[in-house]
Amino acid sequence: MSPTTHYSLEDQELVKRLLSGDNAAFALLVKNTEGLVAQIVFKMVDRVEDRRDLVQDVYLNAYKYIKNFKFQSKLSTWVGSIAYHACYNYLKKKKLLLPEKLSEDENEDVLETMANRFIDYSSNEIMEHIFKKELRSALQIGIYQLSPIYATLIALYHYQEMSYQEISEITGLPEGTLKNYLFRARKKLKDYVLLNYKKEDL
Amino acid sequence: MKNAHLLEEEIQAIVFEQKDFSAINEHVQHCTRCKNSIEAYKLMFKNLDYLPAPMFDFQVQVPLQMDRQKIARNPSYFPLLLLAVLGFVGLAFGVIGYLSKNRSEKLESTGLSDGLVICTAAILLIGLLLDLAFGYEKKIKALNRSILQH
Repeated sequence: MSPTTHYSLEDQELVKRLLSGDNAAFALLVKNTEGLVAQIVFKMVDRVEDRRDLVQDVYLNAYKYIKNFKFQSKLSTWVGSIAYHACYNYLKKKKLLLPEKLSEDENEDVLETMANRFIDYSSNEIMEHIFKKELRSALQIGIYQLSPIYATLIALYHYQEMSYQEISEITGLPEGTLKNYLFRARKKLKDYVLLNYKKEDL
Repeated sequence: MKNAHLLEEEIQAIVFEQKDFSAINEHVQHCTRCKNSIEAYKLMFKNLDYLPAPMFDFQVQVPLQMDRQKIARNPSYFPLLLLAVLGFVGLAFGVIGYLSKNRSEKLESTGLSDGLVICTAAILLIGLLLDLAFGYEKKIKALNRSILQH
């Protein structure tokens, strides 16, 4: 795959200002990218103190290496890539990159209960609200039960609504591997949420 | 019509890739299990959008007013190299001078001692400057972090 060039005028202007040492431009860079960086760092790093150090390092490195930015991706993707690799190296150093275990079993009863519940609750606004709240809570916990890389991929694809190509640029994973990981991550998340239902509601 | 239950890959493809599989769709109409599985995915990932976005409980600081050129480039090692070369040249001259003189003159010779003095001074200087150069970025980072903590 040949590298494509992204000549976003906004990015070009920002890079130009950053290179001239404009601190307001740096603040703008942070503002534009902190949502993405937060998604990556929160999904990959548990310790609050380490997150703080990593984030500061991410932006210091972005500031330091901005002269190497070649517009082969969006500026935000480039910063995301710095964040991802900083977190990845942190996990590697701390030996926290554990292989994922996949549960293959699927509980039909739980699936049915969940679907029926939603159908039942759809007719009642309050119950629907409660059901959704429970579900969102289970999802939030479930995401953090995934391995850091899976959680990050889910956040980037489903929450940040990034394309496979953009995620591939951030993580350096080939598109095939990325799709495979994303498939496993979704399944794992679904299994977790269903298991949670099984424990609490059956 | 497909009779066996859908594979997980097929279910995800229907939900996330928005693909149209007529044979599969027909199966889904008649299979509660597969239908529920599809609905579970749709329900979960639709609700994922409503989860609160993670936010830092600290503010990312703009790096200190630093000379960008100093950050962007590695420290210049030219002065260190110059000192090292001078030290070695001094030492070489001292050794050559010492070897080229007669034994009686060697006692009076100061070439070797001069060379050694220059060499030692150069090595000490190199050590100090290297320490300064390598410690520079570390200190700037530490300074930035200390500012963050306040």
